[in-house]
Amino acid sequence: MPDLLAILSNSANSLYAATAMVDIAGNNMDNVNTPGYSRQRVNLASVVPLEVVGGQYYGGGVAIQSIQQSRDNFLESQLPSVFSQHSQYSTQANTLNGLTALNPDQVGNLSNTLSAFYAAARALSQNPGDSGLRQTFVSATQSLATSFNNTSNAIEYSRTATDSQISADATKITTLAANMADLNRRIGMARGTGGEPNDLLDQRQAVQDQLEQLTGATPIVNGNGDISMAMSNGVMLVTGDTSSTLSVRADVTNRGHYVVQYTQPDGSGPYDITLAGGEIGGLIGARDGALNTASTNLDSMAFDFATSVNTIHAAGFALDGTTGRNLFTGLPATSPGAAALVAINAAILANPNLVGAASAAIKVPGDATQLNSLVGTESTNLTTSGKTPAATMQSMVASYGSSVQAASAISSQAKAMHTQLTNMRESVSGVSIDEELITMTKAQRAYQAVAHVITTTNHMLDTLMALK
Amino acid sequence: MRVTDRLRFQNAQLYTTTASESMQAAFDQLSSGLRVVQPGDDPIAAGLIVSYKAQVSRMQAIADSAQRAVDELDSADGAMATMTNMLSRAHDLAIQFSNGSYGAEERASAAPEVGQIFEQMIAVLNTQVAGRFIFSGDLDTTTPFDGAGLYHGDDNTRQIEIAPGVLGSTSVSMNVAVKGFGGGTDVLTALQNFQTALTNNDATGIATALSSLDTGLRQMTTARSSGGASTNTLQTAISAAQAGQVNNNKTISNLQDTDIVAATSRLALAQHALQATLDATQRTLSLSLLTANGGGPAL
Repeated sequence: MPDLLAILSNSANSLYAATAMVDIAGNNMDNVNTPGYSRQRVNLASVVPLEVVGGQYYGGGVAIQSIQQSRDNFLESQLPSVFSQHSQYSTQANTLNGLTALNPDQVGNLSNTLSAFYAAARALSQNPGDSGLRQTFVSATQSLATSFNNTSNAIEYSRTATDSQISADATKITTLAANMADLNRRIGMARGTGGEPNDLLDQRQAVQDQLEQLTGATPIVNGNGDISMAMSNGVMLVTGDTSSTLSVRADVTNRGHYVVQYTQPDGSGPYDITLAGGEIGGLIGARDGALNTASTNLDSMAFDFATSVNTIHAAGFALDGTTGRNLFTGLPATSPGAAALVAINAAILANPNLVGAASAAIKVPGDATQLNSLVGTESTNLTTSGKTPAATMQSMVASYGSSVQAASAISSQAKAMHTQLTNMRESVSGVSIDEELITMTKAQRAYQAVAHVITTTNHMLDTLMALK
Repeated sequence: MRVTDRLRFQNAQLYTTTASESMQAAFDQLSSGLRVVQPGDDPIAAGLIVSYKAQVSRMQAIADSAQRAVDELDSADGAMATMTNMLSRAHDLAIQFSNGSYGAEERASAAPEVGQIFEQMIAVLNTQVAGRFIFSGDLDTTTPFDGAGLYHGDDNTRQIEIAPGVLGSTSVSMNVAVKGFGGGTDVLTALQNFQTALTNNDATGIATALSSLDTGLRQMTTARSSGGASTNTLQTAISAAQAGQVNNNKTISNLQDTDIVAATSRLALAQHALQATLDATQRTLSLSLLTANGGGPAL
């Protein structure tokens, strides 16, 4: 036979369940915009009666079975590579797009000043004795050298700008890795006490997402629920509750640009590492990839061009009959750094009469033979590129453009994948306010109904007590 | 698919941003008129633009220097025309005084005129354009002919680039035309000899001078036609360079400039897309249980 007091006690449990539903719905709505938050659900189950009363099973009310997170592990296991690729290539495309020195329409760009140099040489070949034309030639030469310097500086500036980002990223990664290790430890402890630490799991997921975006590291789940993070080259960023430290060091073999180093949790190191994934990989890829290639090509071009012009110019005779003077100075022994250092010979800049326009001392002020040889370098292939100066510029611009285009294309492809997967994850784990409002209304109705049960039971008890 | 609020907001943001981006891109292309601004916009075209621009500058420089050379050759031609007239006058005198009817006195009276012709020839041969001697080969500052009619220039012909990598002559050698270098007749010496022959009443000398002046006139004519031929070549080079410039500029425009019609329709399309996205976003976001009951939860 059912027991009135038992009904009251079951109703109390039922009220508790309804309150819990509202509580969780409220928590879900509180966290509607929290990154990494997965919605939670109260799983209810009816209580199986333990004893048979009067030959019947009477239900034992409701109990909260669990509070569960909605997550799709299959979906989440695909996210790391997409996060990594998306941030790697979008960073690379943005960094590469930041360089304007190679734009075909940039005022005073290298191809314009190169053309102006040859135009001035042609004009001078008409009348090598004319001081105005000599001055024009000297100015054009100076503009060309400056343009080499500016282009080289712009590329180098873009490379240096990535360094500060790389350094900032290394610090951020170290902090996040330490966070992740700490969360691993706290989750392990919480699980030891029984319940599922949903909020800690969400926090760890958020940290994990950021680490994937920054480094392209992939998560490795081990038996006790810890998530370790391994970077693309196999270096462990997080192992259980310990984490490595990332730092940077200026690499003299790469013009003083930063190389990333890591120190193991036991303090050994630091060791140099190559990072290819994530934002930091994208930065390093842009810096040491397309930007470095552009810088190297520019140096070769400046070196080869200045050397071939110098060879011809040094054979020429100046107005005062002297010879053996280089038009360009400041060149290093080999091409690296040539574009940044090349300058017009200061003596010629100060005195245009020193331009070697004559092919022999007797031909002073000058003859077309000497200047035509100089103009001839426009059609002569440069040593390294095997192309004329203009064609070298062409291939340099086209090759840089291809790198930018490739990075942009992969970036938009990765962006689409990223959107698709995060949408799917959001679809599974995200909070829908409408849904929560309905859940809340559902819980509220149940609460109201149970309250009626209590009132009715109370009336029945009153009736019982009034019996005399 | 389960649609959550954040999903709706995220997608609304994404679609609006994407639609705005493509509208901005169409707007940029239309307002700047340029399709390729950065190398990444179209790598091949960007490379070609650089190369064609260099070609255009080169053509411009070739046309400019060829034009200057033409101006100089015109001066040279003028000088040669003057010299031809002088030599004709000397030739006329030689014909006149080779006639045996003239006596010693008459012949001697004509000698100073021949002397003047000689001096005028030297003056014309030493013509300067833009401060340099045009008849001294490569030696710009060397006075080509001295008072005695001796040549001090060299035998080089001035050359300029008339097409990429091709050189053309821009000067005429007076060492050949006047001094008979390479097997011709030395006209200046002939004039001097003619003057001496007139002074000395030397009929044979006058006859020899007549023959030499005859050859000298032919030499001068040859030099003038060679200068004319050079002028023609240079004019052709200028036209070719200008045509090349026009063609290259057209190619650059094809590579770099926006197709206005296509860009306009792209802009219109992007505008519609953005408008549609904004409308749809507004409608989707206005649907919520929160607004179903005057802003409060539906109870």
